[in-house]
Amino acid sequence: MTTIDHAGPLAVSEPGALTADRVARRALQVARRTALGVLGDREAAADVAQEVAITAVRRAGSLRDPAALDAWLHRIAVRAALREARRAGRRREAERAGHDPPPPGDDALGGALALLDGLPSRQRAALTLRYVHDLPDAAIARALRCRPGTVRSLLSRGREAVRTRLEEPA
Amino acid sequence: MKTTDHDLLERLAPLRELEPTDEEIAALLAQADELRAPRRAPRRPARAVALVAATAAVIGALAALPGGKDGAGPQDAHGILQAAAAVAAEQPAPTPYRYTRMLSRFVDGVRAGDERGRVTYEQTSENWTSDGFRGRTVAPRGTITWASPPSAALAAAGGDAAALVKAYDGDYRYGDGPLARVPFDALPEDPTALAALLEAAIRDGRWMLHRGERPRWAPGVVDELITRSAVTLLSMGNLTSGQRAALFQLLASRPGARPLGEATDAIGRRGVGVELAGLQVIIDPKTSDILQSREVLAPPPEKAPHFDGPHRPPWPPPVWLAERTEVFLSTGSVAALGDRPQ
Repeated sequence: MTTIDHAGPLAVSEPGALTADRVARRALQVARRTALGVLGDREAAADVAQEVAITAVRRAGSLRDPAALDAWLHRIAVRAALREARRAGRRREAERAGHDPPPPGDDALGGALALLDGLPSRQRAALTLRYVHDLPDAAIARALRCRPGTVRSLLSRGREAVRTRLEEPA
Repeated sequence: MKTTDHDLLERLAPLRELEPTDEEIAALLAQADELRAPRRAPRRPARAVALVAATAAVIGALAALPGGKDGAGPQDAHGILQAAAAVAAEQPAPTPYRYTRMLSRFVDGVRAGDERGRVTYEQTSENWTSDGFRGRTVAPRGTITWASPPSAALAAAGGDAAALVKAYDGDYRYGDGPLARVPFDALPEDPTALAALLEAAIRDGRWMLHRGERPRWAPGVVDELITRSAVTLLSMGNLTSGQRAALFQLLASRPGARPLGEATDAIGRRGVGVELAGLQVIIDPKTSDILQSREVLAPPPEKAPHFDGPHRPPWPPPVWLAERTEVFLSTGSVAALGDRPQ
């Protein structure tokens, strides 16, 4: 069962406030949302989120600036998700057919994932970072390792694709 | 209609609502602690207990994931393999030989002109391995079954089929793969160190049958071989419980593992399935034994791939491996070559 809580970015105001528990919670939160947005596959996203969160817990101690936690988490989560998306793509290509990702599902989450279904991974990542994590262009650019102009272009094409999808007859 | 920021914020809101539970956090911290724990050479019961506790927490948490099934055990590949590691850690210490009775099944696709056929080879063998892939294999003559009676041309294209299933009694036959000479006692019980050792050994070819060979691997092949080597070691190696646990943990950390859910092997035993580097592996959750591994290969492409060497093989090939299955009918620890488990 998933609890629902509209938690915003983690507010880390004091040095040393990065307890393992807080890092784990925030890392799972960020990584799961990001991985689901990019991959659309709940099982694969759970695996990626787990991997990212463990990395975060083990390496958070090396962060000099606790306030940088969120930016760092976005970066490692989006990269892990894009890496898995590439692997999944290669796997599907190698297997040729019959191993498409599972359908998004009929629940509210499935509806959200269906909206992103089929978009290129980096567009999905940009849309997720903007409309799920509420990040500005510069932060998305840092996470995706590209220029803010590229982010604006990814977002624009992503919005256009979603618009087309929404206009399609049901 | 213009898609506004507000539309997208609203429609993607369900993604923002994904929140980890306290149980998931506890499981994650337990797992991170376990991975961070310093390597200890001797096996300690406490370590196994901690691993079991961590895995139990992971199982509980995984059941709560979206798409999970409450009470049905771990649903993702990572959880399944961590659970197997916990069970493996509690298995008794090995005796001088590991015994494995195995059914090997190969399915070949065969082509002769426009004709196509499929032929299945089956052979059961008994195997004993000691401190490495050394020991003995005894296998009576196997069977050859065509899906439909072959024409003379197809049978000829299939090659010397009888040689593939002839009776055998001799040295343990692992072949010339990357683990041909692996000394089992050199395998660490720490999953990270074990993965590093396997990777180094595969890259430099130190365990290949022909010493001094330094193979050149295509991109991605080493990763695949690490996974496959771990499965081979779990299936046939005479290993300590700590080494087996580490191998499952290594597999849990590999990318691309996929759960296959509850699965039944070729002789009707039920287990839990995981796909690893193209291998469909069924694990007995009670013992952590590998019950079966199977792979189904895509047929060769119609267009010939690029070859660098001077000898271009005929294309399309007359015979190709379509499917390979190994069913581990019986496994156990025995005191001497030729003994069988009770």
